[in-house]
Amino acid sequence: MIRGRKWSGIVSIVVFITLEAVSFAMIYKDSVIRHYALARASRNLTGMIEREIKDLTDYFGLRSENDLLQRENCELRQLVADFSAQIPSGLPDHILPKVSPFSYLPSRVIHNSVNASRNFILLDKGSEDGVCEGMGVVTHNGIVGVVDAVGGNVCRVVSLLSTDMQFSAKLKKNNVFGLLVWPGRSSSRVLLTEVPTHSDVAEGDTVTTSGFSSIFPSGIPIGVVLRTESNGVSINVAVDLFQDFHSLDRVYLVANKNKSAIDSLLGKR
Amino acid sequence: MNPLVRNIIYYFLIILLQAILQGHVDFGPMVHFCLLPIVIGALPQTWKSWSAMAAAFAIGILTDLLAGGVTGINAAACVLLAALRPMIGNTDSNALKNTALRTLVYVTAFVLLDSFSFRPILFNVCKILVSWAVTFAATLVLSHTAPSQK
Repeated sequence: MIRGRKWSGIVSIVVFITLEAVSFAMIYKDSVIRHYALARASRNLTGMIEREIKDLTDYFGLRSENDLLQRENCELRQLVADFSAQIPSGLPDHILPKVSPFSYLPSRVIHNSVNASRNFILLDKGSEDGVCEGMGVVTHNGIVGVVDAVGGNVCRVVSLLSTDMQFSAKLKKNNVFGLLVWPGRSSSRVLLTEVPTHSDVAEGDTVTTSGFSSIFPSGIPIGVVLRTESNGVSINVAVDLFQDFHSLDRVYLVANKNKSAIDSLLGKR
Repeated sequence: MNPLVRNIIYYFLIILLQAILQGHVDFGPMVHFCLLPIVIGALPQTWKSWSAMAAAFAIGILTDLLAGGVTGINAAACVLLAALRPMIGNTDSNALKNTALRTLVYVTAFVLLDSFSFRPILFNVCKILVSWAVTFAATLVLSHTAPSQK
């Protein structure tokens, strides 16, 4: 009787340690788990349900959505006009400015989380639309995240609001760059870290993408400097995001046709 | 309806509700509802500890997959709660103290695993207290809707 109880206790301890180890491995290696069939199937299933719900609820927000798109269209028209004015007429084709290696794919958010320490976004585009892992996601208000798993017609994005993510960003006025991290508190605020102490940073300065990665093009606005704090070695800059992650809806997937070449040179693959 | 089928449907609905609340409803960064302690507490007391832990693991994984977040957080917290079940007791004991303790253990495990040392300690402590309060209240409300164990 006592021996049976002892064995039962040992089995329980072994099962406990094994199951906790498996759980911790899954938390730590979430990027590996997402490839398994069960995770893919659940992502596709929840994606399908959420897409239907989104279709229904979107109908009630069409007016504000149209206003937003019209504003964005207006800004883009202005940009095209500005660039056209910079190209002298009669310039031969072979000395026209180079075409950007980045291309954009419009998409809609069908699920978004902002409260966990690692937040994910589900988009309504997948491998059938040409989406690949590692593609960036942006809006006209800034960067949103990076695609980390792709299904047939949905993809999962690791949000900028994830405490273990880092993005390269710079100050627009003087190109001083640093690492953008989310401290895990407010969904409207991030930190630009590792900014050199001698840098000229002031409240209200604009922070943009640096273009130092193969994921995002340079110059996408991210937010404005709220305040700075020096730790003696570098400056930590609190940045107020332009993008409200609670109202994320229409986004663009960014593909860089030079990404594999850049990544292989940097030894990432 | 067969009581067993009724119980399975009821607790599956709790798992579904947990997945919806966790992954699809925005309560702000401080509030996290943890309804799975109700399900773990309702596992038959006659089950051996290892089988309760295996069932808790499956329940946690299912919730993680349906909620769409990081896989393994609910699973780890569920297994911990199932392992502590002989000490904390289950819903049959119906003691308020046990319910409070069970939800506190689960909420603490979940918040700490979710933050994974990246979030400030003060933030985590506040989140544990707020989440525990709402979870405890929700558990008490839901305990009145539970099907009879007889």
